[in-house]
Amino acid sequence: MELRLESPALLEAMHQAEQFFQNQRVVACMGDRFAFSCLCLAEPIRRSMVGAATTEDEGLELVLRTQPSLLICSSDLESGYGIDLLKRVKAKLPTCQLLILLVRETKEVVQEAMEAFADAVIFKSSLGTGKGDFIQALATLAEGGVYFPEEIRMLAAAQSPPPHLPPLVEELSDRERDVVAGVARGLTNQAIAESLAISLETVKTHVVNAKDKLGAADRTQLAVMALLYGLIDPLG
Amino acid sequence: MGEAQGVVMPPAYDLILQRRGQLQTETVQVSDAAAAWRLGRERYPECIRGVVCRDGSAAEPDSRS
Repeated sequence: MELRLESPALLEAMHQAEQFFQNQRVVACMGDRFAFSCLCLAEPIRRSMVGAATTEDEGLELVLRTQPSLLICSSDLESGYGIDLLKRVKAKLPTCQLLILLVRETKEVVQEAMEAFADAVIFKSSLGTGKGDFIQALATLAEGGVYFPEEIRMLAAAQSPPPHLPPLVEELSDRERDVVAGVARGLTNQAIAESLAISLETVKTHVVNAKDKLGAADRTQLAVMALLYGLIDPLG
Repeated sequence: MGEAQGVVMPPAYDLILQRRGQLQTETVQVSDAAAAWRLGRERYPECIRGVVCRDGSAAEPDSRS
């Protein structure tokens, strides 16, 4: 992607950003140190920045200390997870608007971000394409709206469980989903145990419990049912 | 032709394929999960959604009653 530095659109975007950030107190939390540094140095944003961090715990501590109006966060952090940070911030400071940049473009991640009450969700790869725009997100937030570009909404909707499936009696736990995702990637129980750093017996227990919850008779049915319910994304 | 003694069959994997909105499976015998994915992506680049190892040694105990 070539960024046209002198284009009218970019100059207009800078103007809009300047307007937006005039009345904001911003905390940024990102795993990419270079992008993070550039963001904090960018003139329209710099004056609004009240804190910046690269880990989930640092980010939360900064938010609690500085009480920002906006958190700009990426899903990938040096430690922790951006979406978990959103959840923690929403619980402690519900007035803070939350903008997250997602690296992985899967239904699960998008849903996670939505369930964390993100006010704006953008795929990193969408920036500059017109399909998910930072400035549009800021403009929407300024009006008190939520910004989920079409690409994000379509992904969240396209793979929803088919309507003929009965609702799950009991949700799979996060660990069970991890294990089932391993099954659907073709891993043996031993390989799953090694990849998740848990014991083989624990993996077997999770498989049995997940099969019970999804009404699956074998491993293949388990993976198929989990895919149908949109619980896993082996390709993600 | 009879099966040669001592020949070990490669493990079975189910390829999970999405066709016309339905999930279907096809069993293949390949050396490992990576080979199953490779085969699935070569044969069904638009359809492959998952791969499951059916190897008995990887199977979990019977479901609790």
